[in-house]
Amino acid sequence: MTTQDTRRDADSSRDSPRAAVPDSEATQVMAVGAQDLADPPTTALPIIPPPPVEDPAPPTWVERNRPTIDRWLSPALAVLALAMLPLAVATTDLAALDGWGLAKVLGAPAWLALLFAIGACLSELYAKRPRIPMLGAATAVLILCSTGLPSVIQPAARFGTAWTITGFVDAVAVANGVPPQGLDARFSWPAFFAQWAWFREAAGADQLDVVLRWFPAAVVAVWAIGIYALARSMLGGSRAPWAAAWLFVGLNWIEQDYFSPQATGICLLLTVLTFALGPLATRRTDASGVPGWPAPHVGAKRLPLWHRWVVSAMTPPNRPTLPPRQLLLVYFCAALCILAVIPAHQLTPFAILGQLALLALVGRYRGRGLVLIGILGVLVFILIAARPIWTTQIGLFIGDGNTGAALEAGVADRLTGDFGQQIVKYGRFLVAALSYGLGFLGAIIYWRRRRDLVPIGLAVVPMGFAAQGYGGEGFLRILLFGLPILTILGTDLLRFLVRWRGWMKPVLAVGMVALFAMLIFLRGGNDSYQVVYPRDAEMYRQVVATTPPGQNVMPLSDPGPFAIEGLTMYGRGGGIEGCGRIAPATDKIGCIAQINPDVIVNFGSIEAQGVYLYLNKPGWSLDLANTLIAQGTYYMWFQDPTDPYDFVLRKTGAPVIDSATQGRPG
Amino acid sequence: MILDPGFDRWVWLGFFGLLVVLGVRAWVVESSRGRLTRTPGRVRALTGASVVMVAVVLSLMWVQGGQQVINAVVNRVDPVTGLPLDQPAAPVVAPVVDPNAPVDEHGAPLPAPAGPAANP
Repeated sequence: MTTQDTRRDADSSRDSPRAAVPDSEATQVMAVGAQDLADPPTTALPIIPPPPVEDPAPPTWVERNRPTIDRWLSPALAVLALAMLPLAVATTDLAALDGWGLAKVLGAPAWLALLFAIGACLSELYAKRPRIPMLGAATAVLILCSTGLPSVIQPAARFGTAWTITGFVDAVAVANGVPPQGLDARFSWPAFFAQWAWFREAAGADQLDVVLRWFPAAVVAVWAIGIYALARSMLGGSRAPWAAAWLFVGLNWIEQDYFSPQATGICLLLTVLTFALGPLATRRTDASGVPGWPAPHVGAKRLPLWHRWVVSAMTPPNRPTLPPRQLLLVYFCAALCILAVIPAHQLTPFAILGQLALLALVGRYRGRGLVLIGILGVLVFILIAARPIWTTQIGLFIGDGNTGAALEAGVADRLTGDFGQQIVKYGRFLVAALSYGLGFLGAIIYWRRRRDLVPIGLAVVPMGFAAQGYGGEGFLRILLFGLPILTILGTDLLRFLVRWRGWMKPVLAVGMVALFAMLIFLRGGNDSYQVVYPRDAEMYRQVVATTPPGQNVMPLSDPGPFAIEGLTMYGRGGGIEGCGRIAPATDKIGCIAQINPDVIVNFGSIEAQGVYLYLNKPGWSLDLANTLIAQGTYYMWFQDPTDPYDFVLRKTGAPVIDSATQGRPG
Repeated sequence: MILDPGFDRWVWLGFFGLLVVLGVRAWVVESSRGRLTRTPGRVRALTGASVVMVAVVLSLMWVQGGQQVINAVVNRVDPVTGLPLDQPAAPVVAPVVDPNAPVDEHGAPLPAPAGPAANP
């Protein structure tokens, strides 16, 4: 103890018998020092006797068995969750789907599987020493029991758009890798289709039905890895990054994880962001004293804002603490990701470049040349490779500037359907608002902790898409591109709450259960008309095998596995105002008479969409078919005996070829 | 607008050349050990080469359609025809229809009956 340190070790004072005796030696030294400085004499304070020590309470059963619980509870719950899945398949009645979607028809084992999966995650997270492999395994089980639940329960991939994209892959495959022109704007960004066509050819397969079915669960698992890596850089710690990954999975009702270019694009976006905010992350200022621009004199007038901006822009960011070879490897991989996403998707490159440009502007990463590479890559690709698009559809690039109309198309026009459908859609709106609320509140916490507002800027950058003429789905993309950062900031808020009030732990655990139950409700909300059965795909393949090229083949609406083959062989009619889809049209017979298709295809999902989304009376599609047959213009070529709404009508007199002699082109 | 697709390969080559120059520059910058010294001469030379390559790529893009796209975006005109995008469509003159003409069961007008034979 020094002469200046009058503190006493609390434990020694309590335990030692000398505690009751004044330390005369120390007092003596202090007294000498006090006399020298002419301070008032030190007064010894009376010693307060410590309270009587009570016998510690005997450890509870949980405390005594804590090591065993920490070791085995999480794996046991994960195995239980997986064991529930076959029971969930057996107890779910897909035939009873209605406007309330999948959540209403799920059996109790499905909900138990979700509960066990959440328990596996939380028990490992709250363990004294969380194991990374176990947390990873529990996260995979959680994804399988939430996002992947439709893949488990339903016999084929849901979502008609995913089947349409497999038709695009088929079109590229049968043309030996050359995307067809003038058919769909998406073919101008053909990398994803070409990639899967190549995989298909290399595997010797002629369809991707199984890939389609399990793609959402697999791709969300990859996204969760990206969120974890990003959160490790932004939040640190050993538990918060996992919570961020779970929060992302729980808030991701957007369903852009089906077999699609944007799903792959998000993987690449997260990779680039993880590089920029991880190994490449740096600052312009360096607290260790490395000289940069000189600090202003004390009391000097502050420089104008533009001057500070120029100084900031001209100050090179510090070099990250990585060996040069690793740094160069990261540059190379980041550039590769950016260049790979440019020919794959229209919007994702702009989201990546917008976020990278913001980070470069504020000097948060080294390697600003990546922005230059990305911008020039996008320009070269659009000008040269996507020339047919800008020569014919320049409006796609410049939009109409009518954000109000885009908002109406993206939000208001989607709030349709029966009561269940409307509740589902308002629920999606609320969860989107919750995501932004969590993100912005988390940004405040992040600001208090690190004095940094740049992350929330990364979530705001994608809002620029609102002014682009991409259609109603643009708003889904805005949320999708911002969601990774919003969830990480939201996790910072949750961590603050747990540290602030310990009783928030069980509250947040209950909140996690509620969030994932809501996720299943919202994601499965459209399943009455998004569910697909293998017999639907088989029926359409039979149509392709028996219909001569050049005929018009038309579905009554969008859902179902339509155009999964023969995309370039058949027309779809269309181009008639008010008759884009037959299901919501007021004059269905008149529309069919104007379009005059040779083949009309209907699925059970189209019938359900007409009933629950467009409020047609039940049986409307079969009534329509009977009317056409009664007129003598069409005849029933095929009707599935197990589902009367799966049928194919052919125009009377239209040629049909024998399926045994029909060979697929290519 | 007449663009020569055969000239596209020079744009691609220019872009790949720029990637190579930027890659070499990154290699030289990151592998140089000097932290507080003056920028080495070879880095400055490569920076200059990068600027030149960017200028070359931008020039090639300007020739191969960039000019048309910028004009279309700034002036909101069709890049091929040069006509305004927001130009309202020409009014369609409705055919003269007899409101009392007979219709079929779907409301479509029936074809007009054959007229009397022309006088010989």
